[in-house]
Amino acid sequence: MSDLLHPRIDFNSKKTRFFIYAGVALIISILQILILDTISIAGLTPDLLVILCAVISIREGQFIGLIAGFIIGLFFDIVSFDVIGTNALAKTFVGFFSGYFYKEGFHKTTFRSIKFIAIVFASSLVNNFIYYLIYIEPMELSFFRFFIKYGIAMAFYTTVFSIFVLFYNMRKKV
Amino acid sequence: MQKLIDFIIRFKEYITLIALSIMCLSLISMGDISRIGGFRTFLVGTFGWVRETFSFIPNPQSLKNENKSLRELNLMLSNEVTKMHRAIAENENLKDLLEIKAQKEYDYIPASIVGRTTIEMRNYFTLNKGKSSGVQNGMIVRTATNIAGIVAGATQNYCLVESIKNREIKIPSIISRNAVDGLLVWEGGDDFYLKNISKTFDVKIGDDVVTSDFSSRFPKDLPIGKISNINEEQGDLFLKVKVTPYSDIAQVGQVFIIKYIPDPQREKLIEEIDELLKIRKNSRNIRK
Repeated sequence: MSDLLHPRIDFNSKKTRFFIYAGVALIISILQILILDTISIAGLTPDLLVILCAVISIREGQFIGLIAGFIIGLFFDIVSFDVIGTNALAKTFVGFFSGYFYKEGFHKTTFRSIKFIAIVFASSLVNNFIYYLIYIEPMELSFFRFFIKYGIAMAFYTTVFSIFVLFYNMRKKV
Repeated sequence: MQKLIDFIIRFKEYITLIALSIMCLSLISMGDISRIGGFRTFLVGTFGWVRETFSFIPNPQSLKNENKSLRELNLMLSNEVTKMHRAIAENENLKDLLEIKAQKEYDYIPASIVGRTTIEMRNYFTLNKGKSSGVQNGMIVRTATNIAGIVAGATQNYCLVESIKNREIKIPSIISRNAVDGLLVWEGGDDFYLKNISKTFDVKIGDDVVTSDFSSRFPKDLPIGKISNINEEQGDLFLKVKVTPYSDIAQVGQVFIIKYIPDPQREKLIEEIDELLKIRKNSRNIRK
């Protein structure tokens, strides 16, 4: 009876976790489109989906991470009116890259350490590198100048938000 | 066979990465913002509705900015009105003398911005006017002072506008003082750059830049901004001319949709030539 009134979510079940990832991806995509521009700095907004892709890869491994990155990116391309395939490609590489930091059973340690911030920063750089490589193609601009000006700034801005994930996991430890 | 299966299992991450990358690149080569249809059109309407529903929540900073812009604009306009009255009278006399036909004026649809989206440096805004008000894809949107964007998708009651702060934007423009023409592009940030302006041309800081009649998408004489900086780079034949828009679209709430649709024949011809040039460029790259 108590289980019916207060259903417990089994985070150890892969199926449940995948449903949670899908739900979070949906919420973040909507937030990214509807609200996040209110906190944009010089036209740059943090890319919360990069953090989600990194979290999935660190938690589930490289293979699932890169597939999740592709699906999340593709979904975001559709809802954000971007050229279909650009975010999908960038997020696939984010999933692949973050997957190198997967250690079975040690994901909690990663989430609670500064290493997680470094992974998000590096993943964000990977994401921006690939995205801007495609984004800048029709412009007569130097890719590296553009990337240094916007790609790195955006990676820093995204990394700031990963601190919340770190704090959340540290709080759970306490 | 077993070896092949083992190989696939061993390198499944790399194989999947390559397969997904190929899939993404194929999608990129097909995808285009102008092809908003079906599900995406539904999203424009849904997001527009959500934004308008929550638009009662005031944004003090935005209102403050808009008030400041309007006060400045008001001051500028009151000065201009005096000059204009004299100029109109003079213009009428000269027109009569030269028998020039009156310039075609466009109809405007006033609209409010109900939402803004900045995604990976792509700027969009949603307006509360759609197909039911006569809005069509490709129509130009302007603020009281300057050009703002192009309608990228429309539903019955809303439309999505892609800002001119956009990597693909190339607006044939002229300096209104002396009709020197160039190509306006955006390279990130708040300003634009006027390209193809030779060092020998007479260009001054403060000159007004407007759209030229070379443009197939934009009607001519739409204001864009003022020249704010001129840079001469050594070894370059052209000047680097920075153009600052009169007002920032991020600070205004009211815009006008110009009921102007580019000539489809002209558009089709440009598209065909563009396609041809792309094919040529690709085949040259393959040969290299």
